[in-house]
Amino acid sequence: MNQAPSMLKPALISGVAFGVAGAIPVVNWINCACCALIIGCGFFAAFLYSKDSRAAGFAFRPGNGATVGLVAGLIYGVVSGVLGGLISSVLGMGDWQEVIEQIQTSGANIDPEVLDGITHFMESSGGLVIILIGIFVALVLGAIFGTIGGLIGGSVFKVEPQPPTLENAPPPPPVG
Amino acid sequence: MLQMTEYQKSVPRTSRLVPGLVTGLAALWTAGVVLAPWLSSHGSFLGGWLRLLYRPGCHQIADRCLDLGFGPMAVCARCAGLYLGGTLALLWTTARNHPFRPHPLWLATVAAPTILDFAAGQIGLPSLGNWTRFAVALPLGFMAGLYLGDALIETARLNSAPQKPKIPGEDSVG
Repeated sequence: MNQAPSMLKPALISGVAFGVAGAIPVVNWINCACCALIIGCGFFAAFLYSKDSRAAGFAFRPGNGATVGLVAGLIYGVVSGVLGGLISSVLGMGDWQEVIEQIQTSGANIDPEVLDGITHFMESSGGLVIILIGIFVALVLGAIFGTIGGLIGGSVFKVEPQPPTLENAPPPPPVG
Repeated sequence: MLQMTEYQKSVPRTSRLVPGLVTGLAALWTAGVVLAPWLSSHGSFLGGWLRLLYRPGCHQIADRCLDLGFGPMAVCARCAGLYLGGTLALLWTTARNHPFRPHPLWLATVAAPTILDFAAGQIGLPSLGNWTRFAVALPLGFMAGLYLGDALIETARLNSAPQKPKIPGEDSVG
């Protein structure tokens, strides 16, 4: 009997490929369109898994898509979080400064000294905090949007279970 | 000709909770896009924090955001179109309780204008206006929402407990 295809391979291929793309400064602008890279990561993982399922003669349903999308999204989170954190710690604070500016312009009642303290802590921690925050944010976003991408992929690339044919039907019991 | 497939597999009322919950969350998320500038225009600091929530998924460049009269929305026109389209499709699917799964070619067809506009913007070519970008993204969001609705309803259907067949006269036994 055939064995169900492994989910890890498509999730790894998609998670690593899209995770690397998500860490590259200009390419990751694609995420500005509703986290399109992360949704694409889950969608592509679902596509790869549906191909494997079809080849193995197994059904592929949206639930499978969601699972493989979730795993791919988490792998995306780790890869893009680590690589993106390393890149931003080498090139500078980047996004964090923008977040601070946005908080300041939003009118939120936060003591400027507190914001200065946070910024100073981020700078003095040698990038480790930035990497950890980056991984955490990427993991959360990867899990949510990867699953959404996987669900959409699961619906698009749905493979219905094959009805039993005469070739793979069990032999009839002996008569007499 | 592109063919649409309509499934006649409805979900029992008890297992409509998950699609309904996701639809509610999507509606809240979309409402927040308009709520953020409205709160800011009324002097509430919550508007700024709400805007930050949308930051990871959108560049939030003010010139590229729609303005309904109380400041730029929390996301750009394209994202607003995607969110609204997706929410409308989820609402429609959940309300009908019948998943509707378009042919994948439709997805490619409605995605093409948004992808082209995005690519044009990235390489410095003139891009579409805000309302046009919104209108172009709306069908893509709607199509993605239809697939999402189909996936949620099918998953709910597969995981719902099989309903016990009603035996005539069962209620009167006792």
